[in-house]
Amino acid sequence: MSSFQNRHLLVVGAGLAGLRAVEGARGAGWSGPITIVGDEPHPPYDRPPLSKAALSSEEEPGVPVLRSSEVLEELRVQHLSGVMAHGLDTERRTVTTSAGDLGYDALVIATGSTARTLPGLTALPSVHVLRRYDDALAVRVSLARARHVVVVGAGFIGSEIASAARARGIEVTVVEASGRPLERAVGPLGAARLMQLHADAGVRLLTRTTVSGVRTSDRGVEKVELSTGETLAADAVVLGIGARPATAWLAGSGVALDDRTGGVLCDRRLATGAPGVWAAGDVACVDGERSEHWTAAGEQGRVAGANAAGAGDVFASVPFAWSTWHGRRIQVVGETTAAEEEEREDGFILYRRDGSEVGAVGIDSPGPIARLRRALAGRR
Amino acid sequence: MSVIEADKTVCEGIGMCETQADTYFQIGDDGLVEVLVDEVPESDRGYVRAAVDSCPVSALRLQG
Ligand SMILES: Cc1cc2nc3c(=O)[nH]c(=O)nc-3n(C[C@H](O)[C@H](O)[C@H](O)COP(=O)(O)OP(=O)(O)OC[C@H]3O[C@@H](n4cnc5c(N)ncnc54)[C@H](O)[C@@H]3O)c2cc1C
Ligand code: SF4
Repeated sequence: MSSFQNRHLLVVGAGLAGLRAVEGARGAGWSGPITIVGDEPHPPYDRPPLSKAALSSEEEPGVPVLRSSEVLEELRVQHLSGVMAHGLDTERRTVTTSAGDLGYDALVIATGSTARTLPGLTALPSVHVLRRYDDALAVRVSLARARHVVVVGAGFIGSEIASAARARGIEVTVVEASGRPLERAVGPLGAARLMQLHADAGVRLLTRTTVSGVRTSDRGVEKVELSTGETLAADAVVLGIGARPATAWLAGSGVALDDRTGGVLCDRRLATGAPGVWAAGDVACVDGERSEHWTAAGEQGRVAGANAAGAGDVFASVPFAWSTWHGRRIQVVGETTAAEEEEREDGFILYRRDGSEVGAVGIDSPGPIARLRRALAGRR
Repeated sequence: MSVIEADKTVCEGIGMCETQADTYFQIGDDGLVEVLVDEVPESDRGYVRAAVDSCPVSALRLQG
């Protein structure tokens, strides 16, 4: 191993978790060189705006970078953009990439996730997923000339895409495979309240329905065939059917993956089973759970970077996520599954387990959400 | 001297700003950001800048 000052920290994945890992390591006193590798051509940027402002703004949005170039310079981090990691050898402490082998003393895995697609629907014109900046630009182009859009999946991202399309006056049909969308995430009452927002905004929601085929012409999508036998005239299809952890490059590395979620197994200190290897963000499965939310990805990144630099931090923040549908602020805090639900005040749904308050969903209720979040944080 | 500007119509109450610089930012009773001190001396500029940059919805600006 190299001398202490020259120890090399390698971060694979140049998104939010990767960037926060760099900041966490510097904050904890890592003085050696740091390299962050990412397969995208852009500096580390933020994803939440991609399904919100980036789809609704008049002008084409720039890349929503997370830090200015001055801040990145102060962090003394070398960013290798457009470089893909292909393999990991934890014994030789080497990552194989499209730009050659990179050695490390400490490694943070922060490759996030990859949007799921449907078989037969990739590479069709005006059929999109939405994960990257370049995807957002393509969705914008389709929305700009669409009169009817089919969104597949009524989760958070699908719902945001539906909102952006409605705001442009486009007719929207959301096609959802499950009988009760979002119920697993926020329970029956919370899910019903959220789906009502779509109905109020004029979105047509078809549950227990899947896409069985898409008919295209050289102009793009023409018709979408549904499992119910119905055929919709549509000019674009956007898939919001989830994302799987980007772990292909870890095959055979000995870094263990969770059977159920496919995420990189790690403990609350973000340590994996391999020596000198941490994981953070959407790719990580911490104590059996993948968070897939912005606040968790950032905080896990910070903790992983700090611990790679020798700190003993623990990831313990209260789950928190936000979304915007049809101009309404939606916030989800704490635990909102397997609990008793009650709409405490208009737009504030409280979740209780064994009598104690464990979480809430807010629709335009930032005040009560902030108070509960503070109370839950105080109990940790 | 720099000055903090916050746009409450954009703020989502995520609280990254408060976590990083709680002498300058606080989530108020309405669940949205409150700027406690809006003038930032040169000596604090670095970490207030970091807090401003960390807002995921770009609700904060540091002028000057
Ligand atoms: C459109 C959209 C909207 C969202 N909105 C919200 C929201 O409103 N609220 C909320 O809480 N959360 C939201 N999220 C979730 C949030 O953005 C994610 O949780 C967060 O981006 C995760 O960060 P990450 O760094 O773990 O992964 P990512 O941001 O995915 O970054 C991982 C990076 O690693 C790169 N990479 C992958 N594999 C390799 C490889 N082999 N070699 C090199 N580089 C690689 C990827 O290209 C990517 O750049 C949204 C997500 C999306 C996609
Ligand atoms: S970080 Fe931004 S969104 Fe969050 S509370 Fe502060 S200003 Fe509001």
